[in-house]
Amino acid sequence: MNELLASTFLFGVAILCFGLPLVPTIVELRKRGAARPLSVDRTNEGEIRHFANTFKTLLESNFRNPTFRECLDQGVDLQGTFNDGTPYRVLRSTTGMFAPATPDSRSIPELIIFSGPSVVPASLEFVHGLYAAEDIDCGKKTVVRSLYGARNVRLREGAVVLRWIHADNELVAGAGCELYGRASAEESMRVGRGVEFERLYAPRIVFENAGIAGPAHVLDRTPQQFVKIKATRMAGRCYAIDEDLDLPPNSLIHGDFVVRGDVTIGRNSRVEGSIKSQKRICIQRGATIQGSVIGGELEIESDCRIRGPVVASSEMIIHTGCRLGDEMHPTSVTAPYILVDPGVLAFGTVWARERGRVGGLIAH
Amino acid sequence: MIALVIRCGVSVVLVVATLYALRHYWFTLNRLFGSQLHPYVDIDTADWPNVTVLIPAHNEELVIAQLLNALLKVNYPPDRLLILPINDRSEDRTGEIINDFAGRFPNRIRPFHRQSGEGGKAAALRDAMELIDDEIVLVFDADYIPGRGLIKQLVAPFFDPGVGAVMGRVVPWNVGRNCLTRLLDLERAGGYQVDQQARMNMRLVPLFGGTAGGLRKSAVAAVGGWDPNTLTEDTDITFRLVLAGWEVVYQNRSECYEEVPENWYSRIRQIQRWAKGHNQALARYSFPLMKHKNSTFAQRIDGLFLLAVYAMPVLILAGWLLALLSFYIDGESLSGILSMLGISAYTSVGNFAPFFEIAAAMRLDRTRRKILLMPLNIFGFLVSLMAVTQATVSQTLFPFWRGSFIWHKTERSANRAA
Repeated sequence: MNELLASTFLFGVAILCFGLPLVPTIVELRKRGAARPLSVDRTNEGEIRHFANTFKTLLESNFRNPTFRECLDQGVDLQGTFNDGTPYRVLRSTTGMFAPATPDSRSIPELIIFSGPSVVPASLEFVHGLYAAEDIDCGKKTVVRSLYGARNVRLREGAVVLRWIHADNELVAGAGCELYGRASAEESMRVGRGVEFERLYAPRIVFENAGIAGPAHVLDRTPQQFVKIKATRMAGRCYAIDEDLDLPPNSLIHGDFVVRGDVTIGRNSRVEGSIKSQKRICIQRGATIQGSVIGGELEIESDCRIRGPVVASSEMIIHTGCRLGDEMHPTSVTAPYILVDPGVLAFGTVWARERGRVGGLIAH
Repeated sequence: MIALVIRCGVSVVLVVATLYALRHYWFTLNRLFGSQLHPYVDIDTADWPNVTVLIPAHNEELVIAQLLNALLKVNYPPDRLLILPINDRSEDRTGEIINDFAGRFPNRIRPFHRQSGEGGKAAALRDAMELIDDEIVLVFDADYIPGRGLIKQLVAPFFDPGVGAVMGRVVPWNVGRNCLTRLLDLERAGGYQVDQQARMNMRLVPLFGGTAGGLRKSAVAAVGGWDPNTLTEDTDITFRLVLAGWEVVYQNRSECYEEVPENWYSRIRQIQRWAKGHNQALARYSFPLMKHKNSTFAQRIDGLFLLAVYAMPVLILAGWLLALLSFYIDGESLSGILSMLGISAYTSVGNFAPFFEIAAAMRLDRTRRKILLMPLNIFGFLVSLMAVTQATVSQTLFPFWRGSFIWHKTERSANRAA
């Protein structure tokens, strides 16, 4: 073979070897297929009602003549298909209107809109969403993908919500319900014993018999006394403690405390500030924390009051009679695992990233 | 003897570069397979505190209005949010635009027209901090566009009394402008999505980036306030806070759009300023950090690596030169070591974002198509290598030539965000 030809061939092969892997790069550079900024969700904002609001907007956009509002006000029975192919039914009440897919199946294949008060029979499964313009009472073991109640919503024992549920007034979840995803109510929420949940929001959340967590304050009336603790000032009213903090009962301390060891806030003590430890925090019976509590593992014994956010990076146990936040100062309570005893009252958000449960034990 | 010295030099470079590479692998694996730490993003309901947003602005007429508009739309309680734009000796219409907004929203925007004093962002922030009473201070550069929920997300970590600073994720919006902006998009993704979040996961030292973040005013005051004699006030304040026992938190889900440099000149000046500032911080804080008893061993080591990140390009370049010298002086082939060195250098320096971190970030962001541009990243790497080396060498050899440091502002584009 001609030497020149051989050299040219070799050079060409070398160029190919180096150049071929760059072809997709050059094509992408010219076509600019991925030249858009990363899509950042700037509307959701973590808003708990996001899906509920989107659902309502979807319904409103799919009813033109009559409009969604007219449809509800007229109380007519309607049936049809939305633009995206979802079948729907508008019903005045629940009497004799369900047509499960098969006789054995309890599954409702349409998106259901109730224009009047409704009582859903037990054990039905709603594959699509559910909208209730008036009060709705879901029977035992009802399974709903999502539910928007424009008034009050009641879930009977063992009901399951797969994605989200929202009530414009009150939401009641009976014993043993499973609330996956988001559950919110604009006025109040009552959550029964054995309910498993992920994310709850209401101005007032009552975990079963909340009469226990009434306005009465600490049970122990012993006067609190100022105590001095060994701490280093970090800035302003913030102090660092390099060891465990074991606050005796009936103590009173002022300031924010960042503790490197375990923390025990003694019975009936009062902290006029916040507490943080990456280890274990135990707040004993009747103690009051005016600020936030940030811990690794957190146990709040009965009848405690915490005003600020409560955050645990592993597990949180909240005993009966505790009050988290108040009417004027709603707050967030968050941890991967949250176990709440019946009789706890929370104001704002209770968010179990992995699993939350009312009473009993949490299986990790 | 000379050959032995050279070989030792090469070996040292090789070891350091490999350590950096391992660190990046560790971060990437943690981000892909480890448990993720987002302790404060779930705080969505609270009795929100009063907050002041500082906007240092020097000749920002092209972008300041879009930031002010965005801040006026956030979902933070308006009566608890004060916007304080700092018109820092601007010579364009920045002051006029700010006054216009302040006139329309007198209860929400309080302008601070800084007519004299030292130059630079740190000096502007220092002066502005004296004017505010709120304990929580957020800082946004003028080219940033926060989303509606960002302020709450950045404030939430301050309910933790141990948190001194919070940093959100920076996302370029002018990605499609040219090849450089696309490369910077990759670099930012790797740096924030993987590097910063991995540091957060492992409770190391996430970096407060000086913008799209917040600070606790009393903590800043306790560590001596903003230092105007630094070119990277963000790195400086990060390490002073860490040394004082404060925690710096990174929130990957608190994303904020920014404008990245659109020409290589701006980019080089930007990275040279970062390099000089980081090197300053390296000189100031590496020994105190090593001796810091309240930091864990991992925090100290990672902090040192973070401080020395802009010294690495110099080391890498020196390693290459030494390897070549060794080849000619020693007569023995160092091709194996040389290629290993090259690979280590490439995987460890690229301004925090080696290619595997970028790849992991693309996967986590679900923007896999962007990965096609990865081979071009070598250009960004080489430019960074040369620019940082030049900055570091000039800073080391001629530290007193210029007297005080000159703070070069990054140029803005006339193109507005969509």
